[in-house]
Amino acid sequence: MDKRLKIIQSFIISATAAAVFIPLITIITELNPAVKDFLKSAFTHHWIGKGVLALGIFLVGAPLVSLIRTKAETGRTSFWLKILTATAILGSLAILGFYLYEVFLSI
Amino acid sequence: MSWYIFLVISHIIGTVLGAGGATMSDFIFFKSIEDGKINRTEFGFLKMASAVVWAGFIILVFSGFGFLILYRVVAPELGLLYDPKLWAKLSVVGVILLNGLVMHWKVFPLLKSRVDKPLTSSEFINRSPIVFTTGAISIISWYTALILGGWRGLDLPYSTIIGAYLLAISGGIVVANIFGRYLIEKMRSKNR
Amino acid sequence: MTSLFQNLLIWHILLGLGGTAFFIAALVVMLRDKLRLKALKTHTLLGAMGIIGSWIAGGYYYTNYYGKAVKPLIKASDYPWAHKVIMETKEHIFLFLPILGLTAVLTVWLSGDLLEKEPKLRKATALLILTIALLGVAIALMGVGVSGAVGQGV
Repeated sequence: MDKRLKIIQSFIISATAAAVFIPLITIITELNPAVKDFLKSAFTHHWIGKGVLALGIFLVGAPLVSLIRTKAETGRTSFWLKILTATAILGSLAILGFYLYEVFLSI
Repeated sequence: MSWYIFLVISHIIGTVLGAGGATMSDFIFFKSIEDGKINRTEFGFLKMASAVVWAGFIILVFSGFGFLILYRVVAPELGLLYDPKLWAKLSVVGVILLNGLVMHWKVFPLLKSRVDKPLTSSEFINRSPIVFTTGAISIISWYTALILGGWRGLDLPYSTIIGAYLLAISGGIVVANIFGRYLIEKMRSKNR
Repeated sequence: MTSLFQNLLIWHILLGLGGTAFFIAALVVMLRDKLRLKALKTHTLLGAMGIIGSWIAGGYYYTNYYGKAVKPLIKASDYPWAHKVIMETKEHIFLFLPILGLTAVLTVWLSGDLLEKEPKLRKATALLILTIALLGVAIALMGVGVSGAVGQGV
């Protein structure tokens, strides 16, 4: 049971890291065209670059997180699930808020 | 049969199943509680009516998005997707979805826990407003979707349509709760 | 629009809608008293598959067709902000969904009966599934908004 929970917990934590990365890279590429151009040249399109990197963080991050010695139990797994959910919601709102600001408020 | 005709028929079937299922569901509920309790068979019918409503909802949403695909691919120049009536319909469908989830979350477990038990208990009475409220929201929302779908040439702003809908919902909730409470009181005095 | 891009757009919409519908169905299973684990596993798996399929179809359409053919139409419409606000938000929020979907699948498939025994874990998993469903619905509505702007621009 502990092993199963540890796997789940590792993926939830790596998904949280990816959910932090997505709004950050979105806003950074809009503010800094050089980063957008770099993603374009490396992945043919900036959106593909963001997707590949986010998936990479999720898939590669989980085995790395599992190496950290932590106790896996349902309370902790539930806590990380709530953190992931909150991060995804806040990240989505940050993206929407950023584009609304860019179009309607920034001079 | 063209895709357009297929979608129109599917959309009508979805709305009819949803509105019909919601009507049957309310009718079965009020008929069932006449004797002061819901038995296993009556609860089974309520669940069946709920399945019909969900089936209608799925057909309605998929055929609705079928129209979106058709307009987007075949005739985007019609510009129908910024029609206030369409966004009003989408809002009503959103309410139907949320209300359905609340029903599965709160109402069905409550009714299941009261199967073959008297509905005049203070425990049920205290929790009954959610039953009457979600029932009212369901039936009014489905008929609103039906009216919006059928009313060709309705040309009102989004705020007017939604304002009228919210007014109907508010009235429906009040009436359903008064009527439901009246039925419970009637059962109570009968049992005394 | 070539038939390839027409098909990609159609599959993007249908798979996305299907995936969202399966996550809503999974939420309904989670909200019930008795947890039907088999149904929950099937719904989350099919939901994640739908979302990933929609992601691939929509991603190919977006990176190879949208920028050249659709974006100029939106910019020429009465709603030029629809590209920047709706489409950019939609495409970037969409990046969350496959990751959240896969996490939901892993959580449901690996925790198994723990979801029945541990109410806290069940509630947290239900919250994640609700978020996926809400983001799916939001993206679908944004899709309607973007298509509407295309219509205005033609």
